Amino acid sequence: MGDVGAYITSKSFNEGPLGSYEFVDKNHPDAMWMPWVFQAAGEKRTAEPVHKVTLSSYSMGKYEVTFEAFDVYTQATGNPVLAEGMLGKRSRKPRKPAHLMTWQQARDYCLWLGENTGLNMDLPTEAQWEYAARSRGKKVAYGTDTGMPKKGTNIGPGLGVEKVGSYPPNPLGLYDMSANAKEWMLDWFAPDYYANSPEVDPRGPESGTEKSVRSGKVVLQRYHEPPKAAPRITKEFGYEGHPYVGFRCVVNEDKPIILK
Amino acid sequence: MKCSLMAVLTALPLGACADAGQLKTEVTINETLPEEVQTVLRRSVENLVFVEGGAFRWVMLAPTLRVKVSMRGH
Repeated sequence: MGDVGAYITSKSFNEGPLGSYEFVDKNHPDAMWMPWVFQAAGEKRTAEPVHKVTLSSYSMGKYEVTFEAFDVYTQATGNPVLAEGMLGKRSRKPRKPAHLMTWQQARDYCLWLGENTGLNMDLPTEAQWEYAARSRGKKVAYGTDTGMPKKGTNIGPGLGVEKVGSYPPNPLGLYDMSANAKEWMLDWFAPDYYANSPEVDPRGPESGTEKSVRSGKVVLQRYHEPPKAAPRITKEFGYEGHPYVGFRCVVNEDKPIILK
Repeated sequence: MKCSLMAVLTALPLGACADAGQLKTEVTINETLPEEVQTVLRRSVENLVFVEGGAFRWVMLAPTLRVKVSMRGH
């Protein structure tokens, strides 16, 4: 798969409204490559409207949940082994992010952690995830250490998953917020929800048919997937479904958590 | 007032300030659980990053995308 994106001016990236860019030809003296940004012919693309959101404090997993941890969970609870027989040894290494699970399987893991620690744990809401990826809502498009991407230095070289924590964390200390597996969110997906949500601690629409998924290279990009769509193998295409969707958990408590 | 600022103004040692300034939720891991479960629970708690709440501007890039891809050799 080739790179997808567009050339924008670095001035519009650095000084313009968040997510609103001036598109230019690649030979423009101020051109910079912006992956995963799309532009229809003649369109000046914008991410408006900007919507103010206020979040309560919470804690978030530093890493995406690994196969190693998820396998302990399935064994302890008698659930089926995740993606058994669907991945080669290189893809299913213990320290790689667990993926190929449904939304419910991901959420059940977080609830299991919560039951066994006495903490109010769950999947992150989309707002919580974005706020954390942008290091408490800073004006950055990438959840990397610098706010910009550099392949092989602070993001992976391409498709596929790598061991969690292979690259430096974002300034908040969270790893893989702009790379590695994508992540299931708690929220139902609605394309315009972010613009109309409640201002305080939004948790997504009441209902829907798809769940939100985040963690593309560009942290502002939103994805969505049917929650029950189990990945499958087809003869024609190999793996189908949502092969690279994993997750991490949050604790909805307004104080830091420590071990006794 | 933030603890670090208070420490500067009052010459209070920062180390002493750290524990006094912020309440924390303590978690005890049940030692009757299998060892490997205790390890997962312990690491999950140790690897939490506290995110202090606040206000921010929520935006998105359009169009939204489906994750679905098909490929060989995953």
